[in-house]
Amino acid sequence: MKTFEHFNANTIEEASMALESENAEAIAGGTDLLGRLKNDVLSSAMYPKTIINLKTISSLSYIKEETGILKIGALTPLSAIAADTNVQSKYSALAQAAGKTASPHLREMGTIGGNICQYNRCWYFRNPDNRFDCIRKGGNMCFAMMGDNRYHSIFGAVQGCIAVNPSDTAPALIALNAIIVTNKDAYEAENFWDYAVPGSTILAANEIVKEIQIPTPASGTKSAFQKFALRKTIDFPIVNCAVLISREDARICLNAVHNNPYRATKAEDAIKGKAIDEANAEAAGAAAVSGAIGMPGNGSNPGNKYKIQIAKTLVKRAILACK
Amino acid sequence: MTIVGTSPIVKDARLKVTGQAIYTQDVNIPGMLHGKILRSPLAHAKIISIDTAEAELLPGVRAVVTHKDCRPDGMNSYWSPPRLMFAVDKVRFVGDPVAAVAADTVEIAEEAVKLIKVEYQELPLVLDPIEALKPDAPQIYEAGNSFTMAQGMATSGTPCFAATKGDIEQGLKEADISADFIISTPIITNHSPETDTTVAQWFGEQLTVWSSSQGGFTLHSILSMVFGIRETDIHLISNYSGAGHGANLKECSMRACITALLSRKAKMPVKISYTKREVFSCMSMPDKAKIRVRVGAKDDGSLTALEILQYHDIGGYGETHAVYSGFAQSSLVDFYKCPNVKFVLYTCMTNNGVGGYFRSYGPEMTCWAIEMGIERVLGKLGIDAGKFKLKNHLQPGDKTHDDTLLTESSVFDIDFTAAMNGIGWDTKWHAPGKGETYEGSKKRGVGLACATKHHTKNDKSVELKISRDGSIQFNSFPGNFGQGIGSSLSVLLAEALGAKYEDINTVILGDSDISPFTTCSFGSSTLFYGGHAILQAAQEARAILFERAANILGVKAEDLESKDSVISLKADPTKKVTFKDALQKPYVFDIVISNHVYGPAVQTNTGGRGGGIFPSGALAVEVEVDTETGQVTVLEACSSHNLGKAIHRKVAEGQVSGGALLNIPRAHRLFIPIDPVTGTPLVTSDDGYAWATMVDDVMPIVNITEVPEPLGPMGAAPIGEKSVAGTSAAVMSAVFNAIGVWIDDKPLTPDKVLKALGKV
Repeated sequence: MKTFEHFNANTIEEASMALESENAEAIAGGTDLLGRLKNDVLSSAMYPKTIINLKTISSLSYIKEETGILKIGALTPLSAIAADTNVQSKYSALAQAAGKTASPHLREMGTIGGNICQYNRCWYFRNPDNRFDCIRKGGNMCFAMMGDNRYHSIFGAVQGCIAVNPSDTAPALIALNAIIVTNKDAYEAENFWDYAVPGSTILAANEIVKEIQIPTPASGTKSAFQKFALRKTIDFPIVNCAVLISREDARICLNAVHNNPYRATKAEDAIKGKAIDEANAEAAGAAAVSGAIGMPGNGSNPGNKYKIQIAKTLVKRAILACK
Repeated sequence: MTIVGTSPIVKDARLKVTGQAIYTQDVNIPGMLHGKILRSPLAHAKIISIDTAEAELLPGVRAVVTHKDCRPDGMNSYWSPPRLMFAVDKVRFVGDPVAAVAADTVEIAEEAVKLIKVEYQELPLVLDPIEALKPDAPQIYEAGNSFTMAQGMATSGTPCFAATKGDIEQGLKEADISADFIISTPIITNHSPETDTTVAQWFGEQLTVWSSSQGGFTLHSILSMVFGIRETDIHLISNYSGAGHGANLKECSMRACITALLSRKAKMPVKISYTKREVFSCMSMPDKAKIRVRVGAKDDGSLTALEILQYHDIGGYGETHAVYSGFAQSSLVDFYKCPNVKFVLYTCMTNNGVGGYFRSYGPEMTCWAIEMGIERVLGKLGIDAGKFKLKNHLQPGDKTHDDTLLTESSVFDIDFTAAMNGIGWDTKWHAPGKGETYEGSKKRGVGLACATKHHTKNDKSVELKISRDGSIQFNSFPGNFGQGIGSSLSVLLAEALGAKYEDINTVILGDSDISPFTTCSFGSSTLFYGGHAILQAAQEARAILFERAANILGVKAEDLESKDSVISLKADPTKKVTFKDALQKPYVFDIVISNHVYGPAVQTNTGGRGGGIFPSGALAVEVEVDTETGQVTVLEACSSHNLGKAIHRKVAEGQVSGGALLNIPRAHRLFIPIDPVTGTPLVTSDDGYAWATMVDDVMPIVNITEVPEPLGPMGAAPIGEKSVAGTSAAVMSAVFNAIGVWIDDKPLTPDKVLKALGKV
């Protein structure tokens, strides 16, 4: 770990101003950032010079429902969201996603704001001491493309990068039609990630997530979340999926399958207005992965075509869970 | 026996759960520096130059060392081939140590390491053991890429060891059905819950080392060789370690040497703690292999031939003993009756990390290969593999091809039956792939494997002291890493001495200055030989106590007995003396007995290799395979083992359940992915390494059989490692039973399962 300045922000405005300085980065729970810093994942030029602590900003941790909108403060820990009975009953996909993220310790520390702003997962990008100076770091090569890509994108690259977004809550927010409110603007959740820079949000350097707003689903609407990982207790998803189904609408989002959360609109079209049964759910699952490619294996690398089968299954199961 | 077989409170339980036990990471000495090791980022390269000038100038840096600071003859011979602590002309795996720095803080040391400039000339690399033996493979050593027991490094393709009985080709000709396939195991590593740490400090020419270790005198002799100092100049302290797993034998010796070298140069104490990244690159990586299996059987399942060709990948360096421990595993080849068997071990150098120990090193993969071979032919014949194994294993009195005699503790039919019944085998076994489907997509199956391992003969000593107030202490140095050996030895001692277990109030397991020579804990032998040593010491001490008591009571010593630390007349228990009184009158006296048991002198099965005894054990599991996601879940496991005699019952049960619990994930999810292009480990922290957890993994049902081992202390049989041996075999055969398709390679991750099911 290198030396950096540490600044406790008292207000969002203060934090925003501080973030304008060179190589400044915000910290909330720190569960993603600290690992990156300790391992020297980034090149020296990219290493943060200042860390702006958001935890000292008061009253950004809350869950409340007002005039048909669920409002969650950006600093709310994932454990609180998972445990909230109102979220569990009306926004099930989000409560399930928050509850399945990482381990109890990390859910206590990790915040909803941080969970959607975390960096992508790729074991080349994350290898310590900047061992692989990859395209995501300004290099000119994707090492996963030639190497072991069993956990990488099945929907192609973004700007040459095949890392995946590992957030469990992001697909739930997209399925639940959430709005992400910052100090500058408000975005529909599915527009929160950038396609010009691999694995980035669209936030400006001095922009900070303040609140998540989710419209209360009409009665009869159901949502569900499915996660596939080697272990139930702690692992990042190999694939996850959130689904919301109302009388006339369906919203389906996969994650860990692409650089950004992947909204499966073809699957939505396939299930919209139809009975929730095995056959229709199966068809929607197939539609969800109709654009997937997957990479063949080589040597010890099995490739990632198997993730297509898993994604298809999770879409089916998440739909059936909305019955 | 009144104490043996009970579960009195574990000796150091209170200190551990209250955080008072001092582990190496807790050791902090005033003025202590922190060390960091510069490791090779490349898997195979020539070292052109090493420039440490800039690192040395960094404020706060106290010492920088490279191979130039090592005594040229200070080779660490516990490696095959022997190596200095730093690479000299070549690096052979990602993580090979090149230099090290000691500095005032960890941060300065980390920065300084990055200032060392190493110029490399990259060489082509080889990561596959079979590829490594080909003539055009990159040569990792000048002599070739094979290591042999007889001559060390040898021309690529020279077998390390071979054993044979009968004629394999003839056996295959006689077979009605046969199979010939190659299976492979992944790279894994020991993963100690403790941060792997060493602290070293010199006092003139005398060295004190605190280290996580699983037995001190191995490390002791390495330090003596590497630094050219006498054994008594070294004080090694290792009272508590966070894990053994075999990892705390050899790699910890490299860390200890480097720490001591830095400390000597800086003339200050130094601490080195490994990061998780270091753990995943430089700790021993066991059981990496490709194994070719050829097997033949008659239509009724009776075996005609079984051949195991093991291409064992020991990486850039191998831990000595580990590289050729396969020779002992060959005894397992004909555990099921078969007239023609062959076992060939090729020890292959590659550019992977170092090959080394893991609890039950060797048998886990050898048992797996053997069971997979047998099950493939049985599967084709539609025979219930569990029932077949029950009928066709060797019996007590039978010998394996290499003359290992199975003794009374080899009661496999009892353990096979108990394990099968434990999971309800009879109602659950079905023709492979033909079982019910659950929840629309899930298939279940059962598997059974023989779980045994030979023990290793070695030397154990104890020093026993009965103090003038009747309190008892003993010292030995087998290491104390959670295996409960102090409590098991205390139970034996209390039983043999007729003492209260509670009166044994000091058990020192890791201090070389006060303990007599003891080999480290390995090879399921610590209780076996340590038990003999403590029983002998108890006998001698008891004779002295009884002599003194006889004088006080005015009776003959042979008419006395002892219980609960009281010596009394057999014929009249009212005539009695406490241990304390016996040591106070007529003059105050401490009994001190130093006792040594030399392993080979204990009469075990002399015909066998590596120490002979094969107490029985079996593991049966039920798995569920999700055919839509490829996920394998172990639903139930029953581990049944003959322990001869459970000395400390809870400790013994822990050995059985722990071995199975911790190693079952090796079958279906544990691996370290290696970048196929650069040889870099891609797992560098706990996330992504799917080690067992109490939530994800099922706690095995433990069944303990007690058919006494006549050669063991109070009937105890060697138990430490055998519960590990059958884990992969049982899980993989259960998966076959569930889906009816074989998968060749471990672990059974979703990609492989879905591919086998035709869904990729």
